[in-house]
Amino acid sequence: MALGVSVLVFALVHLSGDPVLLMVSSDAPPDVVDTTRRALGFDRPLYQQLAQYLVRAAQGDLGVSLRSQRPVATLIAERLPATVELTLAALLIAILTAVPLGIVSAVKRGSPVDRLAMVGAVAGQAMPIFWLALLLIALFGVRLRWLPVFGRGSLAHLVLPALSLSTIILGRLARLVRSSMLEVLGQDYVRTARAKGLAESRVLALHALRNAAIPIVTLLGLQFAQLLGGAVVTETIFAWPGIGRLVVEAIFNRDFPVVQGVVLVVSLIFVAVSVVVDLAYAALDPRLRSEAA
Amino acid sequence: MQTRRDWLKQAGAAAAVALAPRAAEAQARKTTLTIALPSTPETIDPHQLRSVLSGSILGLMGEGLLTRDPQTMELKPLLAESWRNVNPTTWEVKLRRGIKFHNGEEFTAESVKFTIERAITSKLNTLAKLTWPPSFGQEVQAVDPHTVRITTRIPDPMVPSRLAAESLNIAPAKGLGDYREKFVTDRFIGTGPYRFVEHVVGDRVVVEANPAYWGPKPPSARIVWQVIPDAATRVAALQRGDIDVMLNLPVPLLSTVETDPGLRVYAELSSLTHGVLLNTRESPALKDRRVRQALNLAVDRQAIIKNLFAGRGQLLNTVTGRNVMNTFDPGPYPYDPGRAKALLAEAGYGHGFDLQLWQSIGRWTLAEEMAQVIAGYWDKVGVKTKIQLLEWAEYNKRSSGSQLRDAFYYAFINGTWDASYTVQRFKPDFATFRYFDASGDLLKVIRDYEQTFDPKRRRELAAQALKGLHEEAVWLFLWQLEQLTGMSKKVKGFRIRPDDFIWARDAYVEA
Repeated sequence: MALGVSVLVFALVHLSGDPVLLMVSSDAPPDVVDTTRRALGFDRPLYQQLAQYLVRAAQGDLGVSLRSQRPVATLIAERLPATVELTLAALLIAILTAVPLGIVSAVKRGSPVDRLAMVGAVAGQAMPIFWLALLLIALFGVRLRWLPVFGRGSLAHLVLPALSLSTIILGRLARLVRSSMLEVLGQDYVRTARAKGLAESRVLALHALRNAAIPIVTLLGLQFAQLLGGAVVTETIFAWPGIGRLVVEAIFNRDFPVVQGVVLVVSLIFVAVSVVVDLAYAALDPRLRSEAA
Repeated sequence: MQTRRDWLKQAGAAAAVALAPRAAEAQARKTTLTIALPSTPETIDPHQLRSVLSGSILGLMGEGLLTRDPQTMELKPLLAESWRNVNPTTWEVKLRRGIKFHNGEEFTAESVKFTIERAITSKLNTLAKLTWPPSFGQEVQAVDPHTVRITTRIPDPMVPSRLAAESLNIAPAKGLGDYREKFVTDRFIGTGPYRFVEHVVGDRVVVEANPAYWGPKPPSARIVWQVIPDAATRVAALQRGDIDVMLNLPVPLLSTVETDPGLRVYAELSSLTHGVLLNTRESPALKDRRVRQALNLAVDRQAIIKNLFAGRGQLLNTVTGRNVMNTFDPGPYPYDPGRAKALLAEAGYGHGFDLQLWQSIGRWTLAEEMAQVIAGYWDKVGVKTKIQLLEWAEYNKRSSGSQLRDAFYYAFINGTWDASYTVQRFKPDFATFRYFDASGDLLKVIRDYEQTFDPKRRRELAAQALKGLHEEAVWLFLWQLEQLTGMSKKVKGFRIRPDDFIWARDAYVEA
């Protein structure tokens, strides 16, 4: 898969235009443009450039940024932790908010609490992330002065970006928890558990939620890609130094090696998340474990 | 009887008095000045820079032989003590003595030779090759440790201006000896008032005061250039006091800064000269001067500046900015749609004609809106204008490659701060942006101007050339806009030079 992604990205970025023209100044004479192109190897046939890229990538060498002249692997290594921190924090906020909200909505189905939660969930899903981010900045940053509005550093710096980013999946997650729980709560084993006289909290946590978890975990796996996409906007607004901003700047500057490197790394992360989701299925559902055996 | 406690009290008071002035001095200024910028500086190599922004950051740590006054743009010596023109192809520069680079290396004629060779004759892709093309055949000779002679193959009256460009930061021959043919990414060794601390790519550049600086003591202990891409976030950070200066304040956010009691707006006319270039070489109607003049008369530029840019700009009536050396203002084409129609009729286009107007997306503020308004004015006099939009890289390729017809928007910098920088573009042998070829007397004036050394004669020739280009209506002449900066009222000494160079070397924040 990584190979396929590499080839595809290579083809797409090279279709998008000539990086040399962005690197030299707008009124550079043609001989300067030609010299630059030769110096960077862009005058060679595409298949040669691709072959060289793949061989080097396999060795962990993602090339050198055309703009900053620094190794792409170093740039990504510097930025990746920030993005991972942001996405994990957003994921955590989403889970900690959406799961209780979904459960309460399911248990109190039709109640005002349920309606309010679901209206909130839909609104959260519909809200453009940049708009919400600016509102959060205006309120918590400027008016109340509680939280910093840009950069990475302390835990306080993480709050607003993570909160904004979490809304991308929060609404959908809450709605899914609610519908999965509703389905499970109607099952015989839940009625049996209640009939045994188990406490309601135990019924919900052990019997219902665990069975409702499979679709939730699947959704989380799938939505992870969306979180990484949302990170591009969030990182730009909050000046969060992650790979989302790195790739946006690289795209604008036609910095091919950086774009290719980031896409490759992100696709590898995505593959890894899919594997983790598959393993989580087995952990959650003993039947899958025995089938595998 | 004095107790031990009394004695301690007195000693404490005495110490407080003794320390007070120093403490007051230290308290008077914040240690760090933070300047927020919208995009990442591309480099910290002294010669790889591509933008005024990077040039400004590096200009705190590095210095050229000459510089320009932050207000008047007058050439001034910096690392040079003096310079003189020996003959049309030879310049002699005397260097200041006793200056040391940040690595302790002494600044000598060798440093100058190394720098010019690295920036201009090496294989590196540098900005200096554009501000001073290698075709001039520059050679540097160290006469003695503190004198250099620079020769060029062809006479070049612009040598002092070129030596003042930020693309020629003087670098140490030993300290960067291994980097003659490759870029530096992890350090900056210069002679400037600030020293390099760190460059976190895409996030910030940090510099600190150089205690051994040869000139006046740097006023801030530390300067942080912080990247904050979003303008609204930059304003929020400024309101909170997290940053002290925000560059590129967009017009819609002006009032937020203006109404905040702790902040102020600093406006400086940008050197970017905006215009719509007209393709007189390929578009039949535009070959006629009267049609081009009509296009100028048809647009109410003053109204556009007022309504689109909150009045923050000035009309431009020729191809060079209002403040560059040897500029000349031939006066405006007034807004006169009646006269425009009459001229079109005279040229045989009384029933109008079709015209394509190109604009780039994502390059200039309110670009699409500007194109729409201009098209609206042209439509009114019968020129049926169709707007074509293109993404910047492709737009730049086609426009500089002289491929766009009929008309397109552009904004030019002035690399040498002399009218010749833009005037030379109208020679038929100029490599890029060829849309109007000067001929006859006008061409002769332009060529003479380029090689004339006498300042008075240069001024006269420049005025003739600029007047000629105005009469030929080679562009729809538009405007220069103000560069808006938001800052705390406690920031002192911060300037943006008329060529857009950010002059932060005198800046500090009061505590």
